[in-house]
Amino acid sequence: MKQHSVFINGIGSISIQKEGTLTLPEWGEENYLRCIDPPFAQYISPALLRRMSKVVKRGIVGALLALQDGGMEIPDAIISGTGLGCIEDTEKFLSAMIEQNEQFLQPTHFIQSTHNTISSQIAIMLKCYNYNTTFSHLGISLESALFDGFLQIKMGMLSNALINGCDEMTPDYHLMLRKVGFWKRSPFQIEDMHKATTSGTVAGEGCNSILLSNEKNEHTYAEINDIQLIHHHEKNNIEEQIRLFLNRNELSLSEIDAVMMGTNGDIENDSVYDKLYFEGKDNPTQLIYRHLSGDYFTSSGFGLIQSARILKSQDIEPLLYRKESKKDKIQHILFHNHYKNSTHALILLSVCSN
Amino acid sequence: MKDLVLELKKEIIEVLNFEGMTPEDIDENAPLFGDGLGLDSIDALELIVLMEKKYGIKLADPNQGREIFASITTMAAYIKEHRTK
Repeated sequence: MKQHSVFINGIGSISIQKEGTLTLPEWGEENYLRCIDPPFAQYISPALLRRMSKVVKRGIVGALLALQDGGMEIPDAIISGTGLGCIEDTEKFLSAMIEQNEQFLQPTHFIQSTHNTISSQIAIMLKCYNYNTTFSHLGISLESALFDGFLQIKMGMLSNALINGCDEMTPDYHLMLRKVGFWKRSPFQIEDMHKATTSGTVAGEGCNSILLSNEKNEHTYAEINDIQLIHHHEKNNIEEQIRLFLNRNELSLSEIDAVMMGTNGDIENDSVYDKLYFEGKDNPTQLIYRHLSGDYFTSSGFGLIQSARILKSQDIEPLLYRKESKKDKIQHILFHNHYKNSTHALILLSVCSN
Repeated sequence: MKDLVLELKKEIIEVLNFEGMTPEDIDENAPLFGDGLGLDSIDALELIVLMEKKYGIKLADPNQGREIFASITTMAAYIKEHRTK
């Protein structure tokens, strides 16, 4: 069977960063930042807007930006990944159930509270009746959505696919995770990202969209050569899995120009990457992004977008460096994200000369 | 009645999330559905919940809705006559 190439032809992002900029945010006492929202009314009609929660609005605008960036109107597929779905509407609905003794429940919050609302609302906006799916696999949700689109394009079942990773961090959910020690107790410092000494990370939210296509054109950012999701890592040697993954793409770690890692300042999380890339004999340039996006279930989408930008522009924003190894050209980026060292996602991206 | 109309307008703005809209922007005699405020079937469900929650009115006959929800004025008149809260 003929295998098609897969290219990233468009990107769109709603994040805690001001559009078009990349700066180190002031994390403050709470280590918690929310999105800088675009003017939604410029993209969505007021009649639709009033019923949408923040994450749906952000998902739609992120998707529209990616389509616009890639010069496309209707994609062959809309595939979303979300760890929490529309958690704000879920909270409203569940709170009302408790407060009002299971009576007088507002239908809108119920209708909008499901995880697949984001993908379906994008489809309604676009009048796109094609393949529409949502993956909800905690910290590997975005990668699962990407893998679905990647495989279907590779096999010729789709020509293109819009991939979205969306999550919001509501004050209530942030508080719950705080209670279980998920966030840093002390103010975040950039040193935490270079050598974590404490547990916990910083909280963010965002919607990141990527337009995949089997055609390379003037919009193309990078090629996605391969994706591998490794579940139940404890049964597999991850170092060996990475070696095999690169080998099947006729590469070795020493030939990888940069590794984009899901380092988040948590000592346990980051030690996984340190063992693989810092302590190993091959030490490619190490890139990090979660201090700029905050940590949330689909924050890897933010990192993926940065990787695509780097491959297109051949320019690395200094804030992304964890460790720099001088390279003349960034040819290959290995994107590596793990969730609790149980599930790993490996994505190989390459430069694409037009 | 005037107070009830104003209260209803405020409730509708909040429940149906008409951001940036004020009670003065809503004509109490204009149709709620279609041309006027442009509400749809999900909004109708929200209004039914509002009637029950706020005024203790349970609408058993769906056909009644067409008349009751014709405008804010007709809603207010029905609430005034049937409210239990």
